[in-house]
Amino acid sequence: MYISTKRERIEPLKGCSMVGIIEGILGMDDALPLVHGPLSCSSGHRMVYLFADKEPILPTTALTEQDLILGSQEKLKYALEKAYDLYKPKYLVIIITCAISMSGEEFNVIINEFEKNNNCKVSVLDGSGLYGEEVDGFNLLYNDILKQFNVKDNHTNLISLDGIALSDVNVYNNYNTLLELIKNYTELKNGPSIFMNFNLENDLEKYLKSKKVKIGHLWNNYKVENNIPAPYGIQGTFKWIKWIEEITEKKIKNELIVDYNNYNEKLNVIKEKNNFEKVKVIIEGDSWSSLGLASFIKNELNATVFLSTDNYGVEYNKKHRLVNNIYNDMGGYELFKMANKIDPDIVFGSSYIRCKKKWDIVPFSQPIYHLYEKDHKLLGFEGAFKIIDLIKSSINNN
Amino acid sequence: MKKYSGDFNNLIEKWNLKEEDLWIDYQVLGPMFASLRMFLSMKNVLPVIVGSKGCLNHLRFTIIAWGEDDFHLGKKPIALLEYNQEDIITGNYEISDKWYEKIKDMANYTDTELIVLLPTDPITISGVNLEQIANEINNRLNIDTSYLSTSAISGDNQSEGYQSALNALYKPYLDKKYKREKTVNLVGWMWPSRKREHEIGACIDMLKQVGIEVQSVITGGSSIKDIEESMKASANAMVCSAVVGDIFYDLEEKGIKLAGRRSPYGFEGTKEWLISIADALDIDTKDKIENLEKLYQKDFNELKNILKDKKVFVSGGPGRLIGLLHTLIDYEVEIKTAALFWPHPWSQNDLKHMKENHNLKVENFIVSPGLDDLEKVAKDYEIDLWLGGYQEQHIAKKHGIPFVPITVYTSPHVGFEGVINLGNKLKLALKGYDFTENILKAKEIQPCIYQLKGKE
Repeated sequence: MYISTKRERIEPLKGCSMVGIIEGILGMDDALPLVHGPLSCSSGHRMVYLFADKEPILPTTALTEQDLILGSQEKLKYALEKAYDLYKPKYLVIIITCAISMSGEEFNVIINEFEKNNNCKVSVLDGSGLYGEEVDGFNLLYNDILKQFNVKDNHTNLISLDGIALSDVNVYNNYNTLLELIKNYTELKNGPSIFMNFNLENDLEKYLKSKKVKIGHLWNNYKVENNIPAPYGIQGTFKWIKWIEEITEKKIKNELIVDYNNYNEKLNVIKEKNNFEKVKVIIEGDSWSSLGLASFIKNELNATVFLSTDNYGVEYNKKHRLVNNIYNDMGGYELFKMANKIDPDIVFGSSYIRCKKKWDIVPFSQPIYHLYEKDHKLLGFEGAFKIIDLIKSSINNN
Repeated sequence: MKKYSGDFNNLIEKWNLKEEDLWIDYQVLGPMFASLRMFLSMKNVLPVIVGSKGCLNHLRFTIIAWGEDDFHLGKKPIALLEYNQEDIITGNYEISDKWYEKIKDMANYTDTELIVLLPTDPITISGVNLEQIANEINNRLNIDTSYLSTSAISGDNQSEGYQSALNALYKPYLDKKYKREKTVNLVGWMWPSRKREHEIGACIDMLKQVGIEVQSVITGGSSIKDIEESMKASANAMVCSAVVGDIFYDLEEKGIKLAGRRSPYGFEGTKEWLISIADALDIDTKDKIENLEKLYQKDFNELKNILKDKKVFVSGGPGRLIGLLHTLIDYEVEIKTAALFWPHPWSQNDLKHMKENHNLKVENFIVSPGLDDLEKVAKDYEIDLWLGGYQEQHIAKKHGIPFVPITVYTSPHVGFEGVINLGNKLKLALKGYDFTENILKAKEIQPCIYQLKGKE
């Protein structure tokens, strides 16, 4: 878990732990979050549901100062019962906010009693900004699910790619590309992914049998030796599939080498005709995806990349040196202002850094206002050439 | 949070709201949002969130996403002064040089004249002295720095936040004396835009046509100087009464009359608003108001023929709902259920006024509705038209009810023209037109604008 101690961030890119929890849980059909704290913590995070194109069902106890003074247990007890009556979830996550986190109230008695009477597992997760970052919340939820449903890892042909969230930009394109890579180059079978429209009642049995592969929001442990970022570019995609081979211990198909050589050749032809060295690219996003993209653009195309990502990405980069210009959790206006100085040819990021008059933007990380930017298929071997097309087109436009 | 669901007459007589422990809220935002919204839409004000970074993240999106393009909010900074749990427990509120450096840069870039510190819950709960931090920032940066004492936990709706922000903005001017002018301030506009096609532009233009001059708009698009200028006006009128706090009673005592208390919706509501402002300024403008109304009469009659007796659900915040009820009364629709997003101190009187002075009839009334309440309405009542907050689109679609969004739109729903704009939307919805482009963006129609000729 990352706790900021330097007091230097003035406009962070990412949210608090609660965002991560909500990003995950909204991808589980029969699970329900319950925000135990002030209304603002629930209402502000409705946006996460909207990013996933979902009705924002984010119940709250809507606590006020008076409730904190009097104690919030009775409120929570009632809220649990009512939320269950309304939605009949199989898994209910009480997300506590900064106020409750500081008060130190505990809810075990209420939860034990509730679980005795209802067919629903209940957890309390700390979603406060004091406790951790967006990515920490996602991991907190994942680890809780493993514990609550007794999920074990297996050595098997069936794999579950865990860590992609429905609220991610371009989620279905990305996820389907990953499934295709697995299908095309390995003998593995794709199983259910825990946050991708997962249904506990229907999918859990199969999920319990699969090998779990942590990617996306779960790719945050930079201390793991062989951890690699998202499969962007020719080298990046090749390495990612080799990584799958390594962690699953299932041999990849020979087609990978053939395709890799062909794609490499195609890339070299493009590079002979186009010099990308003067191209400036800004990338803003979660570490898994943004480091993968940044690495392709910098190390395969030789362009200059400026990357703002979460602290885990920054730490990973210290060790692996994928990019030179990296900024820790810089977002909003601060990043926009910096972009003005850099004057990039193209930006992969959120709407905060959108400036159509000055540079092209490719939607890459949330938030994307009004969802008006077009999604592109950027992952995998084929995605590399789409990225090149976007860069070439931005050079022509500017 | 306080809720009610049931008989309308019983509600307005007794106002017997009940405390509920679970809320499937879909529309209300909290006090921090309210304060931040005021400051963010102003010129030269830099809001700084103190404590936890999560509040910054969601508030920034919630405000900027809905206002950047539609109402000219643009890219506005919201800064963070971050403290973690250990800092709060040990009382270590030191500010780093690097932070000062970055904030100074940001303040220069945005011509900041006022920094406002907004505490998050850990700061409020731990009782940190924000005055000391504000003074420190003021001394170091030489920029006026103020602070609020409300955070998310201070209330379950926007009210506390609006009051707290207004108090901070008006405080420096309350004890000064100003010479009054025959002008009015428009209170409750939340965006920088002054465009004619937006509600604020429609209000300013309507007042101009009937001979009333606007002094300041509070607070969207205004500067600190505009707040002081507003002290010269003779009246404050509401564009949206949801923001109103006790400060306007204090201002009334200082000679700035409270006029046009309910937003100018519907023919009757608009006339009432204009006359109230004209009376407060002692201006006779009845003929002009009637002439302006007449320009829209033909369109109105045509729409009324289509909409009359349709069974309607309507929801809105404390300002907007009262306004929409005015419009719906004009069209003589049958209001099966009305829902008030959150109760404002004025709500009971406003609703009473609507019943007693405008013959409002509502079969069922909900205060602080949740998605569960809406499901019930959609199932229990045969609704022909659904006017509601943008996230009500899901329920309306699920139940196949024509939906007109009343929180995400740009063409004015206020004034005489607003009656026509809204009527046109209702007509289109009845014909099967879908106003939802996607989950975040609504489709819009061309506004209807008629002007009184110069000689009138």
